[in-house]
Parts: sequence; C-alpha cells; structure tokens
Amino acid sequence: MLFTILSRIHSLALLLVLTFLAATIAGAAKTGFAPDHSRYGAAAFQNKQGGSRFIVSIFANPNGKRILLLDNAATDPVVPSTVPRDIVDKLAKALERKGITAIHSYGMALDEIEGNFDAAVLIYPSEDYVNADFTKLATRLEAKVLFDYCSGWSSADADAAGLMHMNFARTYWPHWLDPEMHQFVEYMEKVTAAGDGILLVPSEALSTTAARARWFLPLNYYLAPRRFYLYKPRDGTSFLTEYFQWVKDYSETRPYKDQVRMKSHPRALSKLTNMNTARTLNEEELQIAANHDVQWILFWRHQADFKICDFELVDIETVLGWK
Amino acid sequence: MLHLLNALLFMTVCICIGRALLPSQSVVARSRGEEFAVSYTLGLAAVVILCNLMFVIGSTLGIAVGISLVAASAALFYQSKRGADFAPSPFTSVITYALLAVGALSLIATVAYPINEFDAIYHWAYRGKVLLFNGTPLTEAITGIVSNDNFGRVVTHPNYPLGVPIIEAFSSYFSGWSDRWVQLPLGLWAASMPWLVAFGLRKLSQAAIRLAAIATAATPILYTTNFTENGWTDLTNAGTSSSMMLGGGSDLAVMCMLTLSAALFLRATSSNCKRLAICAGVALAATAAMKNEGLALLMVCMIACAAALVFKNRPLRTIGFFAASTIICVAPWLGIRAQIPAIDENYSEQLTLENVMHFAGGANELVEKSPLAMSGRPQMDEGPIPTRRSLVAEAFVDEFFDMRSWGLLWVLALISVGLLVKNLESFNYRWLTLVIVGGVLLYFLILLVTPWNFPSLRDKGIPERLLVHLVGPIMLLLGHALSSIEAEDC
Repeated sequence: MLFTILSRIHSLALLLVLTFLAATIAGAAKTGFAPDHSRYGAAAFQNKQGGSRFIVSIFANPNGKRILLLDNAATDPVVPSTVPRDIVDKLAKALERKGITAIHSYGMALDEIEGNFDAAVLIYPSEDYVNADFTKLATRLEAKVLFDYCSGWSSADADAAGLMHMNFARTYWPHWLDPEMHQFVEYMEKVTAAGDGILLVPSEALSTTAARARWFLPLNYYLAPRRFYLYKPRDGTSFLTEYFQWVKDYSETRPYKDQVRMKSHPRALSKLTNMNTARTLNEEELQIAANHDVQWILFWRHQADFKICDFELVDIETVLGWK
Repeated sequence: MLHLLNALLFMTVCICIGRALLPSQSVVARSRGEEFAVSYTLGLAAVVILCNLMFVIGSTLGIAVGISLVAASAALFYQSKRGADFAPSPFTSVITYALLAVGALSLIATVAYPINEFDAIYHWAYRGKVLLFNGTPLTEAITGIVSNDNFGRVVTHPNYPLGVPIIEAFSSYFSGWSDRWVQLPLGLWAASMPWLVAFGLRKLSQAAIRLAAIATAATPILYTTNFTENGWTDLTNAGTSSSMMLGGGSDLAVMCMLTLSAALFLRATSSNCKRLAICAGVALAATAAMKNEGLALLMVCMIACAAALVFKNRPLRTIGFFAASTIICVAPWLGIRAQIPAIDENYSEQLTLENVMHFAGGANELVEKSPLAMSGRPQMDEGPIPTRRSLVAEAFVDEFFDMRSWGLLWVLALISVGLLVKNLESFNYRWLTLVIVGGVLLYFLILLVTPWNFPSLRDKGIPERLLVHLVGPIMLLLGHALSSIEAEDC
C-alpha cells in the first residue's frame, strides 16, 4: 500500500516536468527560437580591486594619461553588469596612484562629455554608452583603446572604427554564441573551399588557460568539412586538465621565436594593423604545412574573448613567399 | 522545410523497419502507442547497426541510406500483407493524452533551439558532420588526431560511438546539415519511454503498467537535472544550461536503447519468442553504439543473464538468441573502434583489480589533476585531501536523495530490489534486479578508478548523467514489484 502511494507521489513530479518544458519552450519563443545572450546570466566584472593593471599595462609611461570612466550617477537606474561603485572607486584611486587622471562621466551623455582622453572604460552599460558612435569616440581617444568591464561593447564595431576593444567581464553565455566568431566563420566560408586544409598557428605564446579560448573547436565545427590542423590536438581538445598542459607545452616549445611579425600584411577583416597576428613560419611549421596539404594558415592570438583582430587567415603561397 | 522533411523521412524509415522486425500482434500483443514507440526505437537501433556494419566493411553512409530506404519499402510491403490487430491500450484516455502531451512538449523543447550544448556540438554533432561529408568515420577527420609531426585534426574524444552522429547524418543526408532539425529524431527518447515500459510490462496488471508508465514520464531527469535549484533563474533560463538532458546528447539515447532491450527481452522470456530475443539483442548492441558506457552496460546485462540462471525458470533458449544477436550486432562497432585512436578514458585499462583495491582501500583523490592545480594556481581548500571512495560514495548518496532530478525513483528502486526475496522464482525479476544493482555498482567502480579529478567530473553532471541510463530497468522492475504486491493484496 505504502509502495503504491510512494509511486503516486513520485508521479506528481510530472508537474515539475511540465513546468520545465513550458518554461523552456516559452523562453525559446521569447528569443525567436534562437539562443541569445539575454537568456544567460548577466556578464560580471570579477576583479575586486578594480583591475587598474589592465589599463596601466598598455602605456609605456602612464603618468599624465587621462582615462574616461563611463560610470553612473547615484540616481541612475540599476542596469545588469554595472560595476559596483566601491570597485570603481578602487580603480580610480589605483589609477591616480600611477599618475593617471580618471575622469568620471557619472551617467552624462557621451556627446555632452567634453575633452579628449587616452582611453575609455565601460563601467555602466547604459543604452547611450553601449551604442556609442565608435567613429566619433575614436577621434577623442589618443591610445585608441576601449576597456570593457561590462561586456557591453561589440568588439567588431570598435575594430571597424580602429579601436582596440578589450573585454574584462566574465560572460556566462557559451562561447559558440559569440557574434564575432560567427562573423569570422562567415568570412572563412566565403574565402575558403569546403575541402581546404587550414593550419592553426598561434602567433605568440598562449597567454591564457581559459577554456573559452579554444576557438579552434567552434571554427572546426562550423566550418566542417574544412580540415583544421592543430598542435597536439589530443591534449588541446581534451579535458580541461589536459588542455592546461597543452597551453604550457606550446609556450615551452616557442616555435614563434626568431620569427618576423608581418604587420604590413594587409588585414582581411580587422582595421587594427598593429595587432596583425600574421608571422613567418619556422622550417618545422613549413614542413607540417606541406605534410598536411594545407592551403591556408590561420594565425591567432589565444584569448578568451573572440576578437577579429586576433585572427588572420593567409594563403600558403603568401606565407611561403615570406621566407 | 527540407531539413524537417529529411528528419521525418529518417523517422519513417525507422518505424517501417522496426514494425517489420517485430513479431505479429498475435504473437506479441501491443497497443498502437507501444507499437509506435517500440517500432521507432527498434528500427533506429537496426539502422545504427546497419550503418556501423557498412562502415566496418569500408562502405559509406550513402550506401547505408540506400539499403535502409529499400529495406523500409520492403518492410512497408511486408507489413501491409501481415496486417495489424492492435491490443487495447492499458491507459485510460486521460493518461494517454497526458503522456502524449508530455511527449509532444519534450519533442518541441528538443528542437526549440539549434544544438546548444558543448558535448552535443563537439562530441556528437561534429561526428555527424564527418559522416555526412566524408561518408565514413574511418577518415582523417577522426583518425587524424594523432600524427608523427605533432599536428593533427581537431576532434574531441575520437573513439566515442557513432549512434547519435549516424542519426544526425542520416537525418540531414538529402537536405544538408541543420543544427536544429538533426535533433528531431533525438527528441523522442523521453517521449518513447512510458510506452516502452508499458510494452515490457504488458503481461502484468493494468494498474501496475499505468503507474510505472506515468512514473517514468514524471521522472525529471529525463528532461533536466536540478531544476528549480537556483529558484526563479532556473525558470527564466530553462533549456539553456548544461543541466538540460533533452537535445543532441547521448545519455537519453543509451537510456532509451537499454529500456527497449530490457522490455523486448522481458517479453521474449515470457512469450518464449526467439524473434523478440533477437530484437532485444539488436537494441542492446545499439546501446553500446550510443556511448562507451553502453558497452559496459551490455556486459552487465550479459552477466545478469548468467547470474539469474542460478534459480528456477531458466529461459536458456531465449538467452542464447539474445546473447548471440547482441554479440553479432555489436561486432561492427567494435571493429570500427579498434581502428580509431583510443585516448582519454580507457576504462578497460583503468578497471583493474589493482586499481580498484587501491582506491577502495582509501587512496586519496587525485587533487593534482584538479583544474586549479593543473593551471598552476594554488588550491583554494587547504584542508586534508579526501579519499576517492568517500567522494564517490557521497556523490551517489546525494543523487539518490536529489528529489529535483529523480523524484522518489531511488526510493522506489530500493524497495523494488528489496522485494526480490518475494519474487525469487521470477527470472525477469531476478534479471532486472541484477541489471540495476550491477549498473549502479559498475558506475561506482568506474568513478572509483577514473584517471580524472572526481570533483571536476561532479561539476559536469557525473554521476547523474550515467545513472540516468538505468531509469528504464528501474521502472520495469517497479512495475513488476507493484504487480507482485497487488497479487498479494488480492
């Protein structure tokens, strides 16, 4: 008797199941049955100290630089991903200690903010700040750099205006939903043929062990049947722990040592010529390209955030010509 | 539209082939719903086995698709000659509509988004694309992960089985790949489950069948894990996290194939039907073709058959056909597997007596394999290192009492297993009990000796994603237990 009752109680979980299925379908319908960033947790800046070192590190001499902090006034409505005030204060103080002047916008409209700056930091992702006119903004930023602490700006739009965009907020949507990655996939689909071989060559030491930095996984998937060749894929594509070892191994082998960065090589998508990842290949890499019958070399910088400036696709004849 | 039609064509082919494989209704009675669920899943199992056979002899997906279409046409003709006289449904119309509604919603939820989960994309759909574009798994796209010059093809876990990729590739063979519609045939795993359970229990009381079937549909982990754990957020983000079980993954496929095999085997023993026993073997081989753990479950089922022979009522002939067809049907996949680099988990190597004794004896967790340690960062917890056995045992106990994922399933399973003492004379009861206990024990042992850091696996939904494979046999045993109690009450 008790057993039958327990079975009936278990069956009541059908209500939970129906709720889940209804919520899943309704949630998908809300975004047009296509996965969207809005269905995931809001991005968050997780550096409790303000992350001043990110900003300081780009200047040879930070003293006297002017940084625009696009933050909110106390009376502004709360927007998800806004960096908390105490962290903003820590950031401003840390910058001042390095001789950098931090100018707060306090929610003021971008067009109303006067003066020129060296770089801007997105602290408060309001409509006005997120939809900034990057072309205009670029004329006002000496160093042409945007620091994004809210994951609010489009790196592709910034790049188109000649601005280097660096996101430091943690995002919660899966990496295969990255819009810039899909933009790059579209470009590669147009440029390469279905059966082409592509050798993945990091342009420098792998600087992060972030799992999201494994952009070769979605590129390989979305661009199939193109043939992607990677250094030690059995480690690079495996569990995180093996991937960490892969990062270490590649950086220790230093195949990029003594190679020349080809900054003058015309960029296909990115406007940031200084960030060009193309480089010459060493003898071993050239042999590998020949072994695998590749038509293209995809140079890339290993970063958690996909930016089109970190990828450069170059045909093999051009690369061979650099030697 | 073409993508949807291609997926529907695949499903139709499966149903036609599955119906023809089953004995006539006069031999094995079944309702329309049971016929649909069993035919679809059995036909799908047969197509997967056929594709594996084609690959191992050096043929391609295109040939397998052609043979399947011809076989489906022949099956359709054969079925029209044979006729069908369906048995009455064990469900009331209210229950039937409720089960259909849950099934339809789970199908819609599956295709509501294109494939949107790490494993589903990189482990399974990538292979599906390889099969679609290259026609065979024995190609550089999978085997080329290792090479002499250290550079190889980008592919995750190359020796993962091809069941789900075959389904996806077949479903897009004529239309081209669609991240959304290749999931359509996979959307029927959860929906089929109550009907498969009902089919397996048909000889028992209607009340037991109804309760077991509804309990199956009501088991939350068939759809998601830990739903409502994060309160309102889980509701607004439903269907986007890796806790979603529906979609392009393979755990529900293993669960469904094992359930089908168990249901067919139970009916085969009770009706002494060798054709059903052969079908059960096809389904069990397909279990192994869905995920590597399926191969281990196949072994458990075979050992359970042998162990269940200890007492009275020994359906030796049925077991013989079941075992023979399983071995024959799993051979193609084993032949393919032998030609693919075996990297990452190799449990046949790990599951040694020495390893088991090492960890069962109280060896520490492999903290040096934790992501923090491997990334060179300091460990957050400076406390004493826990033993592996304590961590695994704790995880299993946590799961058994996790009502959000399982409801009361494990309580019901425990009582049903306990009722074995009253049902010792039933071969089916003994076999199901051994499969469930053996399955849990197997997964415990696998996780005890895993070469990875166990807490990291726990974060990825282990062991619940493994234990879900056993839902079918548990529900079939529950039906038997309910029926035996009912007889006693009378």
